Amino acid sequence: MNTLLQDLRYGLRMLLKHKGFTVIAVLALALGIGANTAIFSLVNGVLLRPLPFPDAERIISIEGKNPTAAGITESNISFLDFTDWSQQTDLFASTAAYWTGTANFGADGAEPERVPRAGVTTKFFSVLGVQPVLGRTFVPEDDKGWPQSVAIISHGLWKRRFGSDPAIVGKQVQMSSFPLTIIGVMPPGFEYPERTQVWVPTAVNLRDEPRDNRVWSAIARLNTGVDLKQAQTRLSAINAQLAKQFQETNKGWDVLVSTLHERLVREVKPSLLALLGAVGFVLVIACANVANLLLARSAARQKEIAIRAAMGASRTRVLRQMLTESILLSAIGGIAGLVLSIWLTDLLTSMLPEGAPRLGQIGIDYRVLTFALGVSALTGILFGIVPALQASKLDVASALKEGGRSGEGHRRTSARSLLLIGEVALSLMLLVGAGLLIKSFLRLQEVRPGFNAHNVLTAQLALQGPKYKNDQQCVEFFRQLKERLEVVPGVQAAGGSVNLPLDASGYGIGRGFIPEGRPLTVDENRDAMFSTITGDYFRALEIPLLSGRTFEPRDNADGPKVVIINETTAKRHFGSPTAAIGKRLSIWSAFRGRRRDEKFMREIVGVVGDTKTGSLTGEGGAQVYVPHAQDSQWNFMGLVIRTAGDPAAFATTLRREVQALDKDQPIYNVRTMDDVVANSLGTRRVSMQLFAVFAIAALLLAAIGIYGVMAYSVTQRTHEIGIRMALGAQKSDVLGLVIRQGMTLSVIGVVVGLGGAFVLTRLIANLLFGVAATDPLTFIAIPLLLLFVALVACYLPARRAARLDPKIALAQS
Amino acid sequence: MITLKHLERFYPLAKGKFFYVLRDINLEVNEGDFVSIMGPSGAGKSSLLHILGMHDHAWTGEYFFDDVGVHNLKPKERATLRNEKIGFVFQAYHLLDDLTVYENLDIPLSYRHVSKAGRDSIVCDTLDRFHIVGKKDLYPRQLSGGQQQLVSIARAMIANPKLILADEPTGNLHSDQGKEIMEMFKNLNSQGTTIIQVTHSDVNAAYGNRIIQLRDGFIV
Repeated sequence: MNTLLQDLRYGLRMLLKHKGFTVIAVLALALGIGANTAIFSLVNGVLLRPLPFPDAERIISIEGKNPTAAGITESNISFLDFTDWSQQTDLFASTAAYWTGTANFGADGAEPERVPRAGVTTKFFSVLGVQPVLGRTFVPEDDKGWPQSVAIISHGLWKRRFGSDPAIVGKQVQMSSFPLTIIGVMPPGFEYPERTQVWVPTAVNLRDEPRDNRVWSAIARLNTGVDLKQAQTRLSAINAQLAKQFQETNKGWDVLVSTLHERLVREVKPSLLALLGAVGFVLVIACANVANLLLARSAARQKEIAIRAAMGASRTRVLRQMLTESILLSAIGGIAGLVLSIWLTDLLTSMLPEGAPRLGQIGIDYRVLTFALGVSALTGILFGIVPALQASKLDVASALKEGGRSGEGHRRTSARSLLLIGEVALSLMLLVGAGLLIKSFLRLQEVRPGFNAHNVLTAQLALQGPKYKNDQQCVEFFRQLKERLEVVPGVQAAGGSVNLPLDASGYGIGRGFIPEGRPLTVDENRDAMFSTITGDYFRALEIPLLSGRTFEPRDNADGPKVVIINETTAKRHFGSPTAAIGKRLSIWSAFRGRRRDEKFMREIVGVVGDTKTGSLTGEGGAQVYVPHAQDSQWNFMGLVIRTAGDPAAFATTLRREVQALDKDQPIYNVRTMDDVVANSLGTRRVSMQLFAVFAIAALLLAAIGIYGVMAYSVTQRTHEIGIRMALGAQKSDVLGLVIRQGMTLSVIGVVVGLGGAFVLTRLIANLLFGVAATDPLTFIAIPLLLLFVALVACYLPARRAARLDPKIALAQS
Repeated sequence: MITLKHLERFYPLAKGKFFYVLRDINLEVNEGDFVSIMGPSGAGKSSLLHILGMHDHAWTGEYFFDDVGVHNLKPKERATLRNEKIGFVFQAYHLLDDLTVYENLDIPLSYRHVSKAGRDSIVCDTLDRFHIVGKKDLYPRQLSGGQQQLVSIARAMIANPKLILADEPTGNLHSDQGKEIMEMFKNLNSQGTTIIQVTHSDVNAAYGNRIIQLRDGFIV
């Protein structure tokens, strides 16, 4: 212990003595450790931290899948299937089903707001193991069907809307213009599922509920001693029975059982793991840099080490002392890195797209601190071991002899060269990965969404209350809103759609169509996207009209039934946009499990350009538009308003115009269309940005590493260069000598890196769009960039060497 | 105490040739001797000293130290033997620049696994013995050449070695300082410590009781 303190004291003294080296090393380490800790805090919060429920690993999610028949790998489930699973097995301590949506929420006459809500079965909270802080959870008697009469609210809503009123239980509120009594308040932070603020009973009517109404989600708590595999096997067996019993609705359907945690993080897991790998590369490069610096220093410390050996220090003792100094350096770097990671974690969290899972769980906890500590220690050993081993293998006698040369041994030079090659190789791999992601992202941005997102404001509006019991009342409201908006200065066009493009918060509606005389196959119907629209929707989004016309006021409930289709549909089923005009089709929908066919034909009056619907990466499919006046069941719209100026500044005006028509109807999800498009790129953008940052950091570190090695080499070879100059070498010869040395190592590093990149870029293939994992242009451009940077890094010390005065150089020994 | 038989040290050159630093060295040193090794530059004096001090292992022949066949020992065993029996004094003092005088004296004891309390006691005694108590918190750069060499000798003596090897101990000192150092060596020798020094100076050699001449790697 005493000797360890001795080594620590000495190590600290040495670091303080060589401030320049210490600052550079600590900065490199802080960058590497800080970035790793920040990314790990993301991984920890999202992937590792258990869900904030008791025995969370026992909570499972049950989804449907029908891969063979319908190509569906994850789906909601039907309530009747859920009931059968719950009743036919004793594997579960409790089960629950739920649906999610949004609703207008109002209280005490204040302006209503749109809040996420969930309809849940009685044991929902029991499955999650959560108790309310006030009041109670649901009992079977609470579920008396539609409309619900009781509700439980979130802690956030209670605090924000009711000022944490302790008398909240029993209070009457309005939801969708129906009265509700609040019976409980959930604990702080509990907002499952999907940031729910209000929970209500499901109001499911078992008599009318169709078996194939797959709009429900299900969770369950496994009994003690039951594992996931058992649950999967048993539920699949039950499902097989159901498929035989209900062939029409259940054929081909199976269940997918996973932990709730796994389900929540499924989509972001690959990106996060890729980022963790990438940032690990940065750390290794930082270690290689510091190792090279230490190797250079250990060359200068040969005399000291020889003296210690002469005084009796064993090789182990020298090794221990050097490693102690390294770990001390990495501990300082680690502390600086931890401080940096706190700031970086906040920055990263702010970059994540809305809707990213488990955002609230991201932070610095004991796991992250342990990671930082572990990484610091490992880093210290990683960059310290090679220099320590090199130093301890000293030839004591040679080092102590007077007049002996203090040049680097061959082994130390090889170690530095290998480290440099490694740095360059790792940097190249990271740069290639970043290059591919950047190219992929640029490709994504080039994707034409089919509409003009600039200068467009969007908002959601759902009309609720007794005033809108009649469908035509909703139609009339939106018609009046459009008229009001059109005369507002700055508004160029206004309209709405039940399904806005690229808007994940919109309602996905599965519908199909049947061209007159030619029924489509199930496969042909699968990708139809249906939208009921109102107002000047196409003009607001500048979706081009290719042939025919858009909807007009005459396309009302009493007029001939009309439809507009997209270019893909026109070409696929009717030959061309022009040929499609005048043709007819009928529409069917699957609502609550029932297929409903429109019993009439609609005439195609217009063909518009294709738009991206689910995501920019999605393939174009069939799109069908129907005027709201002729499909009036929809009480909600995604509004789109094209403005002359900044659309964000129009939000207040929009709110005012809606309130002028009905003060009880709130708008929500107010965003510019540009934001909708940007948000649709979600994790891809963040992955690309982070990869790019890491790659630039790696490039800088590698450049500093190359410069450092070459600068040191020039210093070591000063005498040799003096001799060469005395023998006739010109400046250009010296320049070439030094640059050749550095570039040889860099080229070897690039070749090794290319090999590694060929293998590793396949791991990020699923993050790419429109770019192959072995894209030739990237694999050529990036190495050239790196070699250019290496050339600059070599040139500076080479220039210094070429300017040496031979007299002075020869005098050095 | 020391017996060398047919000891040779050489460096391999290209094409299977060798360069001999020491050739067929046969030597005996008795306990209590004060031996001076002299000879021109390149004669192999320092090389012989480093072999005697077990810093250099690339030699052939036989080397007995207190009847122990050093040539049969592994490097780790030689290091243990060296730590027990031998102290080294260098021409350039070779103090550790970033340690105080106290710490420089403490280091060899630390490497010999002496407890903290034991080390404190021995270092204090040594500081007192060499009259450098007042300098214990100074760094080598704050001392004169003679003072540094004094500390160096104190360090060499701290573990109570039987043998002191000194490589041109007064080479970097002026004559007064050199005289002081040689008097110190004489004193140590009179107390029973065997001393082998490498020197160019006849004056220094006169302090000893025996001179060995080396020329071109041979003892003449």
